[in-house]
Amino acid sequence: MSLAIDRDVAAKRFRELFDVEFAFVCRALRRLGVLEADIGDVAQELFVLVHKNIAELDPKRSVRPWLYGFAVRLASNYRRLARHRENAPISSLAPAANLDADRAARDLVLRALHELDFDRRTVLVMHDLEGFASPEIAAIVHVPVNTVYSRLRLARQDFREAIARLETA
Amino acid sequence: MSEHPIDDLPSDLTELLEREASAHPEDTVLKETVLHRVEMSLALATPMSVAGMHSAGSAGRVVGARIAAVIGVGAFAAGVTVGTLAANRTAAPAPAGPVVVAASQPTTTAVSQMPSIATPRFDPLPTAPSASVAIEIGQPRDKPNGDLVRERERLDFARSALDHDDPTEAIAALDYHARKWPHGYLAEEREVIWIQALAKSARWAEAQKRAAAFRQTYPTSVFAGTVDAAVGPANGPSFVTDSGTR
Repeated sequence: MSLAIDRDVAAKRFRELFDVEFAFVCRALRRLGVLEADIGDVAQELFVLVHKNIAELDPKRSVRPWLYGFAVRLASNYRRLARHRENAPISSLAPAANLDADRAARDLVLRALHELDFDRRTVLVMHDLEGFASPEIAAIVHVPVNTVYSRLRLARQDFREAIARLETA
Repeated sequence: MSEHPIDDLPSDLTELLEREASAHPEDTVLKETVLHRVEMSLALATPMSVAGMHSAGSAGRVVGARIAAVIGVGAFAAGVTVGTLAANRTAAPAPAGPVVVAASQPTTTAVSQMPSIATPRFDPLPTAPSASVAIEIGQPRDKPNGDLVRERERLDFARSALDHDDPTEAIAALDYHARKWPHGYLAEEREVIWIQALAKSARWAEAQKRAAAFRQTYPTSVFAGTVDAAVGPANGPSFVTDSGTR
């Protein structure tokens, strides 16, 4: 009986988490390099993993670092797939026409991020876009904190150069 | 090491990143689609979990609803994303793992402790219920048209009724679903339960016809094995008759 109750609690927790965090997960995957056309598939995979591991989630702690752990792992796997190693279709990465200023800025950021090394990109996104603290990032990506600092410095440098290239292109 | 080893972000980059970090609109269609696909994946792997998910989404509903089909989850455990297969209904290959109908799936709750099936309170439909089971199940659409929450409630009820050996009640709920949401998000699942309900009612000919229509409509369905388990394989020996003897 207790198992059934536990499952109901887990299911309820999963549903609440899905409802609240779906948009966050999609945004994270997008920033980590998953192309728009594949967001649904990867998000699905992520939430299946979340459901399988929901019992591990400590309700007293923030769920987002935990979700980000899945997002980083899946985005990394996604990147390793041969079909994604090759250049993505130009239509996916080319600047979209007729965008308003905010969307144009976001589009530029995503295209610049796409040019970064994945490990650096991950740290930049987590620190400068998501606002995670460096020790949190270190725990999520399983590297020493100093490595996080190092990657972040390099990532910002790469990012700045990528922006400059894209703006002059 | 200094206390703040990372310098502040340069202002020009800050402005760009802040724009990116501003709220993105939520894609509700994608959200519903992904939830549906996740549920399908989980239904194949852990049927009770999905029943719980449904009950979690509708307080007070019968908790005993269970998915009757359980697919072998070896591939799932090995890291293969069954969910992706479920999502790509028309492109993905059929699952290789065996499918078992868990009609007597062990549960943690004694039957006597299970809540009884409540009388369904379905909204009236514009047309009267059909006297016979429709066999034409229509073609799946790229963009389903339905109401995921309410569809799920109906199918929960149908599964629960089937679980409680009441296939007639299950079919009534499925018939309601079919008329209300012929191309709903859960149309594929509806057909699977319908076939199981017909088989459980010993209405073999109808079950076979509906199974044939299902195979034609969903040729790569992940539920193909479940349908086979209910009515026999598509090209297998014809061992069912209208008289109900198998």
